[in-house]
Amino acid sequence: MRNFDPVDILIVEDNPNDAELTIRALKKQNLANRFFLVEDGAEALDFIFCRGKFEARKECNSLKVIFLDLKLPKVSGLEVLKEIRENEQTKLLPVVIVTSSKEDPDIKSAYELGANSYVVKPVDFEHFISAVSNTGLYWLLVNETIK
Amino acid sequence: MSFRDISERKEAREQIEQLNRELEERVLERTEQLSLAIKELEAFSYSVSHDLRAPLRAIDGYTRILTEDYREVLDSEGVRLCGVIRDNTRNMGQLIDDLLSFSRLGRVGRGLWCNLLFLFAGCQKA
Repeated sequence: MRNFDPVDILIVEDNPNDAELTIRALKKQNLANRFFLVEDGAEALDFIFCRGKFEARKECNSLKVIFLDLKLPKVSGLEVLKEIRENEQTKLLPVVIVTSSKEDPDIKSAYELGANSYVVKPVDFEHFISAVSNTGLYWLLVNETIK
Repeated sequence: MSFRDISERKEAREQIEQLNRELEERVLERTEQLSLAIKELEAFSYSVSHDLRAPLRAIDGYTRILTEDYREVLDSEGVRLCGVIRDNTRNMGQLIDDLLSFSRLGRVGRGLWCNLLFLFAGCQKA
C-alpha cells in the first residue's frame, strides 16, 4: 500500500492536461512536494475521508487546501463541496473552486455551499501559471488554517 | 330601433374584450417561449466557452513547455514556430471571448424586445 501522507494540496481535476499544467505551476513555486491528484468526485471524497482505497491514510487532517474542479465524473464538484461542508471534521477546510469559465452557472451555488475562493483557469499559459502559483502560495503560505 | 343599436355595440365591445384576452394570453405564451430560448442559449454559450477553452489552454501550455524544457534542442526556427502556435491560440481565445460577448449583447437586445412586449400587454389592459 502506497503511503499517501502527509498531503497539503488535493487536486481534483479530470482533465489530465490541466492537471499536469497545474502541477507544473505548483512545482515552479516549490509547492508540489505534498500534493495528491484525483480524477473524479468519488475518489476525492474517498481521499478526503480516508476511506475505500485510501483507508490506509494516517494523517487524515493534513490537508491545507483542495483545488476543486466543478465538472467532474461520478460525483460533481458541488456534491463534493456539500459533503465536505456537512462533515464536522472538514467543514472548515479551505476549498478553492477551479473552473474554465467566468460564465459558470454553478459559481453562485458553490459560494452558497461555502467555497472559499473561485479561480478561472486562463487560456494563456503565463496567466495560468501565475493564477495557480498565486492561489497555491496564498493558501499554503499566507493563509492560516484552524488547527 | 335604438335598443338594437345598443345591443350591437355591446356585442362588439364584448368581442373586442375577448380578442384582448386572447392577445394577452398569446403574449404571455410567447414571452415564456422566448425566456426558454434565452436560457438554452445561455447554457450553450457556457458550454462553448468551457469546452473550447480547455484544449486551447493545453495547446498553449504544452507549446510553452516545449520552448522552456527543450530550448537547447530547438533552433531559432523551432522557437519561432512555437511562437506562431501560441499567437494563434491567443487569437482563438479572443475569438471565443468575442463570441460570448456577442451572445450577451444579443441577450440584452432580446431583453428589450421582452420589455416592449410587456409594455404592449400593459397598454392593452389599460
